[in-house]
Amino acid sequence: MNGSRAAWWGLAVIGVAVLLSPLVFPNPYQIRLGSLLLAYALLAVALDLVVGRTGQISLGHAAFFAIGAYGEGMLQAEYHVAPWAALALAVVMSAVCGVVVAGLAQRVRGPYLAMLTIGVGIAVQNAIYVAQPFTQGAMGLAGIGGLPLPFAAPGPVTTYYVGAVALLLALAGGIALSSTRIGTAMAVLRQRETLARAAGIDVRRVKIAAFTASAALAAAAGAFYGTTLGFISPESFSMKLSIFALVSCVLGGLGTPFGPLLGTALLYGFQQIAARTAQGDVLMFGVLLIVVPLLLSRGLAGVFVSLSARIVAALGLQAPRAQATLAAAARPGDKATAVLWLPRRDGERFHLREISHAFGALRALSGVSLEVAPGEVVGIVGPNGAGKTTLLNIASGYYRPSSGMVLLGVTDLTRVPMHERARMGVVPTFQHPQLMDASTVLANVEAGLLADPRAASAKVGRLRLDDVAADLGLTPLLGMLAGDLPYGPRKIVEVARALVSEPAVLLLDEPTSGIAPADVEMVANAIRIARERGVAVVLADHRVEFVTQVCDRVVVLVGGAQLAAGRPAEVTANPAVVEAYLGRPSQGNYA
Amino acid sequence: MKRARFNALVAGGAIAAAASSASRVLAAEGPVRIGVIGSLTGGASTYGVAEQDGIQLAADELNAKGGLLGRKIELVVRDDQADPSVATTAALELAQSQKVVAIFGPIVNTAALAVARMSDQLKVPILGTLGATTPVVYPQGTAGPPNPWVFRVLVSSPVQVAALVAYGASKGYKKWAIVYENDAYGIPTVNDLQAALSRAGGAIVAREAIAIDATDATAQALAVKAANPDVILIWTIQSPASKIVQALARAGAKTPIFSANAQVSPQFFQLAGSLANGIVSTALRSQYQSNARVDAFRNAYRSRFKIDPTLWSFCSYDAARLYFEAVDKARTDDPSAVRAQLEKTVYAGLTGRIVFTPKVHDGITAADVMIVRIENGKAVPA
Amino acid sequence: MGTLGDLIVQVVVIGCVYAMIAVAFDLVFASSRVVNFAQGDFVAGAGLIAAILAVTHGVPFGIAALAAGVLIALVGMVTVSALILPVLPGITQRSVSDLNEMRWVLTTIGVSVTLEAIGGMLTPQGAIGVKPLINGGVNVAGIHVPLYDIAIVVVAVAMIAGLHMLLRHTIVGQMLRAVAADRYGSAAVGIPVRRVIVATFVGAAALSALAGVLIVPFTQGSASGGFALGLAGFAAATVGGLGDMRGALAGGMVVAAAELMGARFVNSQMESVFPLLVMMLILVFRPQGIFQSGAVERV
Repeated sequence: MNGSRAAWWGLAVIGVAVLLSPLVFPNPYQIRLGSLLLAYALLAVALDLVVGRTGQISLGHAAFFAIGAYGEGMLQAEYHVAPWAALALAVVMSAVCGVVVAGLAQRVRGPYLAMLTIGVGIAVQNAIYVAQPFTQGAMGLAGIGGLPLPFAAPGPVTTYYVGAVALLLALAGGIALSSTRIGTAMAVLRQRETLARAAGIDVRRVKIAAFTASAALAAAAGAFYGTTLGFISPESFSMKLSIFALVSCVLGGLGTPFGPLLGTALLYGFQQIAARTAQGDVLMFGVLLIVVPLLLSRGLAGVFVSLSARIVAALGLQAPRAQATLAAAARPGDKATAVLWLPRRDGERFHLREISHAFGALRALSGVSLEVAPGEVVGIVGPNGAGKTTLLNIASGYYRPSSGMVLLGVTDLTRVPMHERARMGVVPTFQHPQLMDASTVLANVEAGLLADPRAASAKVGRLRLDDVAADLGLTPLLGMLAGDLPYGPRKIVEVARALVSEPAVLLLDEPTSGIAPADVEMVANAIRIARERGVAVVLADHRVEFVTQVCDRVVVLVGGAQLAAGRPAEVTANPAVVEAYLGRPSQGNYA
Repeated sequence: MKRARFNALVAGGAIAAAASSASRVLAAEGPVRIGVIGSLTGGASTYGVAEQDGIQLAADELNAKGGLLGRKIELVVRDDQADPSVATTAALELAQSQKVVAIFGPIVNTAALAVARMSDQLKVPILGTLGATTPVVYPQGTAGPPNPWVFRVLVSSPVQVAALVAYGASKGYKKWAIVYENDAYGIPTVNDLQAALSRAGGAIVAREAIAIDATDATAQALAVKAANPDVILIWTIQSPASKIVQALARAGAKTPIFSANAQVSPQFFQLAGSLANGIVSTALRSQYQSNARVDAFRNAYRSRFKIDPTLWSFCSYDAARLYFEAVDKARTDDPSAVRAQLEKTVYAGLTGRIVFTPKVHDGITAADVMIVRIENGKAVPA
Repeated sequence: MGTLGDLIVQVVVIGCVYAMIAVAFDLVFASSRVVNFAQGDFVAGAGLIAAILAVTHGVPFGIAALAAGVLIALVGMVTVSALILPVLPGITQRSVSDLNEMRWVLTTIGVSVTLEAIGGMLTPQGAIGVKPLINGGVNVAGIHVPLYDIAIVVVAVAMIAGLHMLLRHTIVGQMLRAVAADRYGSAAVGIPVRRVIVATFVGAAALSALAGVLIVPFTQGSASGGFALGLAGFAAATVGGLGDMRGALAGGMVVAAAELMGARFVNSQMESVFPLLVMMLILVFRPQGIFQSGAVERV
């Protein structure tokens, strides 16, 4: 909230500077430079939506810039469409292309996505050359007129102001986005996609939406670029432009409200002032790409933010919110307010029916069945490689089983993706905690709230969060960065994240592995509380004593099949189980 | 309100500019600032640097003799990186911020085209080795009027192609294949070839495009070989041209090769090695003349820049010299006045007799051009 | 028919070149799951250094090639040690933060761009031509096959076969296979994972350098073709299965065929796009390559 206020003030300052600039620099050459800077900044803001906010690497955004420039240019210059209509059409065209590319891109990640977008960028640039009858190919497209405003004739100054308004609107949109639910979802999925899915976020849809919006905005920037120059040719839409936009974002700070603008202004300004050669340009890009991510994890904006945070701290102006939760009770079970827990789904049992799963030729599970009632705790034990995690991943929706069904009551969840299951109340935790290392414990636990539509109100959310944090002893840690925590507390944070969404079914994968005995008691307590509240809990773990202590029933998996099931006492006494897994007490030799 | 203020500023600026230009005629203050936009880096850099060097030499020589109109000539140089948007921004900066009275360059076709297209905004003479294709000087084709501000001193593509076609016709070549650069330099040449062939008799049996940074030219070479032409015309710069030549040799093609004058350069000889031998191209007659003026130029160029002058050096040197002469005759460096004077140019240059008229803004004609053949790292008259 | 034969020969030769670059990608990816965007520039850079030494300074080509190999291997060493290892996940942390994943992508792109810029600065006069060491050719069924091309194919196949031997029959190879299969498990049994990663990176750089000096008579000593070579090599690696060297040769052939056949029979203007189209199709519809069965992502 404080951050947001600062951002709006920043926007106001930038707005004044941008709008008054033509009065200070009235020379047509300077105005043109300013317009070009606006176009590039808008492109960087568009790119940041994809790279900075949703963690999708795009090295081909020049393609959308080109679609905008050529789309608007061709429609206006050759088909005599009215400039604003041409712009709108070009933006729509680009958005359609964006949807297609984004849809394809969901199948690939990281470096593959980068390669895919490189391919798109090169393909589009090539297409401009090849489609010569329409684009004039290498000769370039001329005669692109300006964008008229009702009260001013088209001209360099009018064009500048159109671009200025567009950029300011885009920046405002970015600031507003951060405070929305989808903005928070983006912040989560940017750091940990699996966490996002477990928190009920439809990652695929968010990414596609972001990419599409980005393509549209980049096209608007391109169209504006075309009208500024009046003449465009394919050389300008090369990978070098895509890299320039990326370097601008990285330099300024990915995912920050003004980072892209700052980076673009610095790079472009430096280019104009320094008498540079083509190679020097490119060398600068390369060095910046290497150095900035290594040294400045949030770019220059990050430097600015941490500097101002230090100043704020030095002046004693702490953000009030953090203090309130830090002041909450530090002892487990000691709560400031009583919270009403409303069960999500009444009396529905969670079934895993005849689950078999194979990874290629490797058979991981054979015909395993499991049933949990609300308020029941079922434990899964077995040696390494028995299929415990696989079973839980199928229960959560991370995998789709080769055969078998997953049911919640009568609802068949087998084909339902993880994020939808999370929204329905089937919430997982993972063997290796999926936390946002760069965010606070508070933010991490808060992410869990996204999975519960009933927690939309900030007040309800905060009450729940304090409650769960108190239960798990996390209250003093809420302000710390998750990345700074040792392994044990990290696992507990993940459990807290799952609990805070008040699940119907809680899936815990190795909740006590790697954590200290005192914290084990904390986890056991949390499970008891969940059980009291009618949550159906399924957990897999290695600590037999913990499982016996906490579970109502135990299932033993060996080699992907169920060896035994029943009450803990029965199962631990079962000779087959002892043979396969538990082992006899040592006879005094080490054979 | 902002608009009124802006208008006032512009009006004030205009008055000031008019006043200063009037005073320039009389005052002998300040150097004569001339802008140069060149492709100083990248693939076309050998040409761009040659252009700049030619102008530099001309300027230095005149400065040594007291300058232009008694004032020093000052060159303001910008690198356009072969990118038209950079070139146009540079042109605007030179004309409006740096207040140059003329602009030389750019050499790369798209950049030259883009700058020529904004000549009415720049309002200064644009001269030099401005890209070889027709639209730069004659936006509506050779039949139409030239761009009033653009004056080119360079062997244009149509002139080269016509000379080569005539030579080919004399050898009985009827079936032509062309491998051309996939951009504003190569693509119009296909039309030039078509036009020349329809006059001289002959047909294009294969046309293959190649990208400037292509790794390999095998596909193009094989397509050309399959069409069985009498002669292959290569129209691209040194690196891709050498790859085409190598690919043709590898494919065992024995067809004679004609090329653009871009190939008559040391870099091409180095890249293509012995495969360059036998390639036919065009050159300026004056490059092979030995008279006092040409020799003096060559020596001065060599001692200053440590390499031999190429076609572009000759042309840009002439362009600079004829510009200085026009300024001298107009007795002012005011762009409009000089422009009018330039249209009356009759200049005996190194490249030949350059004549500009209100209808003709291309300095080099077929008469100035001759056919040469490459032999062992040199171009000899064919 | 004659020219089709020429074309096929060229596809084989260029396919082998792409296969060599693909193997470099495979090696690096297998050990560290990193795609080195600068791999193609290692290739071009080696060719450029060799060209500068041999042509401009008259160094005998063999020594120039060796020097180029050493320099590029050094660049690879610096890149992996200083720029990549610090942002790879530690041995204890199994899953990579998505943000971290982006960092080495940016870094290797930065290295690629930087190498290209430096290369451009070293060649102000443009590309440098290099004569092939072996001249002449043989006539096979009416098709003229240069001896140098045959040499390239031989070297490529030998390199890939040699690597295969290394992987199967030496301890180093076994370590690499272990690291490729399970990085964390390997660390647990005492395999020096960091050193293996550095070794593969440097090895891949050396292989790229070999490919680079081999093909420099055709590509000409220049920095600008590097990235395109890298793209083609990556496309070949993807077709054959990234991280799996067995598919490299086939992948190389497929990509070379797409490029040359596309240019010859479809449209020569779009030559550079065909390998990219193949790559994009594979990335989207069969990212594990045409040989492997589905890959599993573990949490």
